[in-house]
Amino acid sequence: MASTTKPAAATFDPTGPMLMWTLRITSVIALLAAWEWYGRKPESFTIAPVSEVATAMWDGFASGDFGRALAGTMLTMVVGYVIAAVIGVGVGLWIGVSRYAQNTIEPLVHAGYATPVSLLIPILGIYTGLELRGRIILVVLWCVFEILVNTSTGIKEVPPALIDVGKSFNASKFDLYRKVVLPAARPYIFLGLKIGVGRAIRGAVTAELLLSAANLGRVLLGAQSTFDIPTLLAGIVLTMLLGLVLMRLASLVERRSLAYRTA
Amino acid sequence: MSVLTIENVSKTFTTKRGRVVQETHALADVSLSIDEGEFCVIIGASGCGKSTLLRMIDGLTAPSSGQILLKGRPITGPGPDRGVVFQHAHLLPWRTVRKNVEFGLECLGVGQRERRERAATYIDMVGLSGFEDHYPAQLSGGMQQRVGLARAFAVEPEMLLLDEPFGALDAQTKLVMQGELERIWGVRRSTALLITHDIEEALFLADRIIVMSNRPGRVAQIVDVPFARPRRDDLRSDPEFAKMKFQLWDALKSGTAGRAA
Repeated sequence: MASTTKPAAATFDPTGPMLMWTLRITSVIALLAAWEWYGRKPESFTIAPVSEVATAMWDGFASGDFGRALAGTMLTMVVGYVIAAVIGVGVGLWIGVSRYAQNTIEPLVHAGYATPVSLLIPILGIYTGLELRGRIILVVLWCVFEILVNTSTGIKEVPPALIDVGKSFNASKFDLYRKVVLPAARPYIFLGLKIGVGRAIRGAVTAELLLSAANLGRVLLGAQSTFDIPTLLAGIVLTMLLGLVLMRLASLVERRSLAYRTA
Repeated sequence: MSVLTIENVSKTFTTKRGRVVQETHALADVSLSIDEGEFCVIIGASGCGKSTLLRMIDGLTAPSSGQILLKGRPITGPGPDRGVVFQHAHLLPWRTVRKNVEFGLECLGVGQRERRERAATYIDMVGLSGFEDHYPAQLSGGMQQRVGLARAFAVEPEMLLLDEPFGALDAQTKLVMQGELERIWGVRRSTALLITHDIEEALFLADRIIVMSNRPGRVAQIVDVPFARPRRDDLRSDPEFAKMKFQLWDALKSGTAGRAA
């Protein structure tokens, strides 16, 4: 009986790749169509129809403005992210393994984690200047705590049973950290690094909007000041697409390196 | 000749919650010795301190009083002379079967070539040839515990410590694994100490069974198991086996009953 119902069930399988892609594409098309329809209505002049936004996007790339802006934003983001990753993982590991660090640094980290980074923008400009250096530091502040807290949590959440295994098999202290604790904490560390990617993009664009107009931020602010709604929306969509691609990439790296879990 | 001597060992756990200090007597005055090449099984209800005793022999915790001697030397910590099989296998999930079996050897600084060879030998012995590159998540519970056995055997310890190794397995797999352990252990016959709450498992595997009573754990009774080796599954239907099973159940019950309330 099960064999007769199986083919029918397969066609309606909601996780099937065909159906999933059909749904994905239709929902995007539906969204764009609704946008186009709403944007074309005369009373909604603040929302440009998607076709005009697409034209603005095309023009932006054709003139090289968008390309340069994207490259500049990515540079800020990548440099800030790498610095944050090194500091975040490093200090996170330290907090995870050292009682001393847990008592001294961790409270500061929690304070920093809870503080809205935008709060620091007025003062940050004074300390670091408004140029690349200041923006990079803002990116670091946006994502370092996320990476750090996840890393230290990962170390603390290593199952005690696995540590017993390491000790029982005569692992030296160094081996215990290198072969048991660190790999066991890896899922958390990778999660922190992945969340950090999204935060780094937000940090970079926020810095370019609020600290000093530059790159994607300048595109947006420029379009806003001339009431160029299509370019403004194109800039926003571009930022979103950047986020989508980079987050996808981060997920891919994460899945690859943690393949053992679902293998 | 006795390999392991336990002399008047007691263990008290102290837990502090605020100002309330609570003391739990896990073990009281346990003495026993285990001979070279002997398969000894400690049996007791949960909470009788049998796992604590094993952890002390492994060197993960120290006794509150008394001492444990391995070949005449007091135990101060884990050592390569003991190999442990844990209840839930506790494999390292990011390592393949081969790398899991090699783990203990890596920690002892054994060179890569010898590691490979020894891992291959013991993976073959537990019947997992062909699964060397699988991750633990790809294996069934029984297969994971086979890896756990291979990992402990691979360091070629003088003494094997098994902490309820089949406690987490389903009934059928458990019987199969008991037979497998009997077969694998029969190859080298190194001294083994197994902990369980399963009477039949104890009878099937042991040369000698130590029955422990509850809270605090003490040695209630020591029973010699006469069955010849190698033992096969038909032993389980032997009338003598059934009789001893009942006797052990009785001993276990009287050990718990006196102190349960």
